[in-house]
Amino acid sequence: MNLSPDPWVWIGAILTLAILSFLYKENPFYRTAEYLFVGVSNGYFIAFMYHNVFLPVLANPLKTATIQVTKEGLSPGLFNPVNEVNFLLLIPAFIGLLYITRFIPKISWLVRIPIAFYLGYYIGLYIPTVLEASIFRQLQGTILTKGSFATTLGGIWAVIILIGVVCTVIYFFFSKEHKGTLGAASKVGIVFVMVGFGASFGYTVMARISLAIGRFLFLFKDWLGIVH
Amino acid sequence: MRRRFPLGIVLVTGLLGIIPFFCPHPIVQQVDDVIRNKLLRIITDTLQMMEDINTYSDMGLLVSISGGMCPLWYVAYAQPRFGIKVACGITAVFVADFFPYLQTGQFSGMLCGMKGAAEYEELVSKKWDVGGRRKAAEGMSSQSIAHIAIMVFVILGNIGYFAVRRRKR
Repeated sequence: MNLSPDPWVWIGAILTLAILSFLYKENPFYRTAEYLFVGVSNGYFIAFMYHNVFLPVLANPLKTATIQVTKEGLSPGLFNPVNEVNFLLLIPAFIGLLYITRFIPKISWLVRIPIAFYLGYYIGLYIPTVLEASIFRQLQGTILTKGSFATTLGGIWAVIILIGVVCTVIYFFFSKEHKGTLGAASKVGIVFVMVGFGASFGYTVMARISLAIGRFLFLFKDWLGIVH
Repeated sequence: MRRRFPLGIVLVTGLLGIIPFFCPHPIVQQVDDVIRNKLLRIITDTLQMMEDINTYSDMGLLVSISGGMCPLWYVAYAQPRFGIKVACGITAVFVADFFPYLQTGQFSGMLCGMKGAAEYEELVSKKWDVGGRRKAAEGMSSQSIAHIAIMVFVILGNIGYFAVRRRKR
């Protein structure tokens, strides 16, 4: 046994034990560690956004623009969105501040404006890209071409993928009763769905076990020094 | 003597909340400086090798190491427009979801959870003689035993289920 002299390792170990104590039942140690985690995460996120987004993207350019105005007066460049330093940044800043109106009942409806901008922006951005990356390219991956049969194994997998995709889609096709050929295809489809779920489950277990192994390695190696 | 990596690699950490700046929005695409000034300067202003990197097109390979869906952002936004190669290192939870993208070639490569990390450690250790602690490889034997234990539990659970069902009949 070779106990770590590092105080941070001790803090990490105590917090890990506090979280693991939930396996017995909920208790004040667990809750303290949980609240600490939430608080630290929030604090980190706020500090990160402040230093990496708010300051360089909004506050500093506006400060520079204000200094320029006091020295040289207003110029058209200060209203050009292409320039890093420009007063048009006040518009998105104002729209963003409208989120706070949620706390003032009389004008709380104004919160719809930034939400509308946010949703509109992301929907516009998402739809074409998701169509391209997750639908067209994925459909392309199921198409059998000469190249798919370049190797015997590759050809077999290409055919399996095609059958899997078609049968799975048929399984989720509810406009017609699953009888005859449709019924047989949907039965094959459910097999593929189950294999998919099984693979997902296996990998999820692997991820959780990895986390547990990491924590126990930390406890037994870094903290207690039992494992070498 | 340790060999050096033949390529320049830039490790950019903590990309939280800045993906919208990096996305190939039409305006941003025309004004490369916006990307450069507002994103890359913040992260890489001290790196000389980033001087000529203005857009994704200037990069050889983008590797997204993430515990979430982040790599798909690059496949969705950066790849169709700029044709950049994207690879990823992900936690095992997302592996099953990401495999179709590997099969279609949208991901050039993928490190799958702890197993992928252990394979990578082995690769760099053998090929580039990179030493140091191999945390993923250390955990793999425990991982394999845990998997076997879970498989045994699944089999026992199924045997129990069918035994109870037969008794009820």
